[in-house]
Amino acid sequence: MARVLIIDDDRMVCSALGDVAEHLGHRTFHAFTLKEGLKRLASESFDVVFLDVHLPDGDGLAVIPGIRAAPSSPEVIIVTGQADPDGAELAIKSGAWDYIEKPLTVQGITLTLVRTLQYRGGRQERKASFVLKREGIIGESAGIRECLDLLARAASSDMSVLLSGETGTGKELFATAIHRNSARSAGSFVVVDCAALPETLVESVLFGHVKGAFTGADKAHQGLVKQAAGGTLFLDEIGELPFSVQKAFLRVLQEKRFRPVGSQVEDESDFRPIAATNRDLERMALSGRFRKDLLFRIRTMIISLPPLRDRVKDIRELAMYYMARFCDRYGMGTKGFSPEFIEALCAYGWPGNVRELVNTMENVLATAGDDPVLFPKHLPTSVRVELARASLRSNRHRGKGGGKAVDAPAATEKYKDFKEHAVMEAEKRYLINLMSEVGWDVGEACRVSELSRPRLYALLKKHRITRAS
Amino acid sequence: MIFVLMVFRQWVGVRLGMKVFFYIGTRNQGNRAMEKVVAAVARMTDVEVYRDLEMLARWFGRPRFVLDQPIMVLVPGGKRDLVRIASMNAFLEEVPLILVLPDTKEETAVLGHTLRPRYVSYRDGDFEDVAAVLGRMLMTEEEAA
Repeated sequence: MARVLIIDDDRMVCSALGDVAEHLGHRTFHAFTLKEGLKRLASESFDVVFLDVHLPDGDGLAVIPGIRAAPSSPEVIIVTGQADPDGAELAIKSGAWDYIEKPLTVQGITLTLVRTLQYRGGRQERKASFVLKREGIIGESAGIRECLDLLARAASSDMSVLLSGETGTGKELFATAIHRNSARSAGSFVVVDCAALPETLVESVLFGHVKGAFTGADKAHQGLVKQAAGGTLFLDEIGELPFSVQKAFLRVLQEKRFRPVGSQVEDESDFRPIAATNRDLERMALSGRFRKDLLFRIRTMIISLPPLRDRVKDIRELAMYYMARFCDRYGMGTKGFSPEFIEALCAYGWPGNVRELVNTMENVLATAGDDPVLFPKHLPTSVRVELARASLRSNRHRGKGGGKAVDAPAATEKYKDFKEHAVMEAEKRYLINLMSEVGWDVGEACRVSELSRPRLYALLKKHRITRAS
Repeated sequence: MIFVLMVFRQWVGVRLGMKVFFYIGTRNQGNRAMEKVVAAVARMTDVEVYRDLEMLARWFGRPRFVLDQPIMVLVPGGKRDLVRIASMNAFLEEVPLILVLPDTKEETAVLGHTLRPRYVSYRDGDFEDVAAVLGRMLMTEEEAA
């Protein structure tokens, strides 16, 4: 018997949904406002929530992440009277299980509820039967819990997985965790850094080569695909894999067979592929820069890792975990965290995500030395400067009534200074938009902007624009 | 391939921020091809060459500042040397590694992959592949910095 919460201000709808759910043998509860519903979710356990979109005290879609983050992590079914494809997309992207429209039918409600509970049952069984080795994946935020759930599913199968997320979100950590929790954990975890491989080397690195295959090939060498046999092949930055090699690699994925460079004979390798990217592969495929068939092949399951700024709740635990780990590694005494230190960590934006936080913790330890308690002064200067700037910005916005006042030219400013400032700002905005549009593909950025590579690098350096920022 | 490193240096026009550490095991010392790579890299960024694993372990045995994080090129002298490096795995976790394996045996490759290197090469090669990969890694790190 499941516990079903219905959040809807329409009593007729509540009654109809309740009747169907109870007929199926479940217990139902009602809330007529969002506030009332969220209050119940914080203190009681539910398996499914039927959620109206338009409630008297707010938009249902906006609170889906909050509902999913409730202690019982219920599945959410959106109920609305308005046909709204954008709303449907937003609901699904926000983590809703399904989206049903009024007028409701008994059959429609039954089918959706039964399927949702089947899925939830399966998920809980997997959780119960599968003790996940988290391998340093820290945090209990809703975003990371979703990812861990998918990780468990990936580990218990042999499907190909695509890990997406900004730089530093922990894609390699997740790939390692999938491998170590899988039936292939006794085999090798082989990394292919697609961004580091020059185009001329990719084929021989992946597939190996026979003696005399090319100048300098004095001996036959095994490729990484063969070395991953029985284990996992982790293709990091797969968006950088040269287009010419993508076709050959697709064949390896489909048939598990390949031909070493210069060989007349095919070889085979049974490996599990896991790919990672911070690029928009869908967009690259649309513009012909990434093979669609390869994309379909590598993304049987997609795990999208959240940026650290979206899981602020996890920052404290992450910082404590890594600090303890570093103290242990370097044989140093444990450190206490002052409240101001935690506050500073949570206020900072972490453009470099978890990797930046981890590096910062090591930096802090190096600075703190024997100091037993950590304070904001132990943070790297770059972090403290950014925090100070953010604080000043927010004070100025508060003091002058919004962003417009801050951006407006000072009346006493010289025209020349004003113009220079405006050009600098416009140039910076252009570069940020350009690099974001091309997904930090420098070659593409040069092509679009018609800037030379050295000029582009110089401008990026001048404005301190980095991939992380 | 060393030419690639030189061209990259011209692109950027400044000395790079990322350091490169080489560990070259005893049996590889005096390898002229490897020394050429070291010399080419030293012209564009700070390089430290370790001949003794104990010295390297000492460096890794203390907390590092972010800017000190190097790219590491490990050229173990033999299998035993590789086993000792593998036992330092915990210290190398966050370091981008290029590993030059001492032989082409399957068990050596399996041991090498426990270090999760970004690139694997072999001692019997001319190291030009190592120079090319290192050039690209430095370029990527420079872009990200």
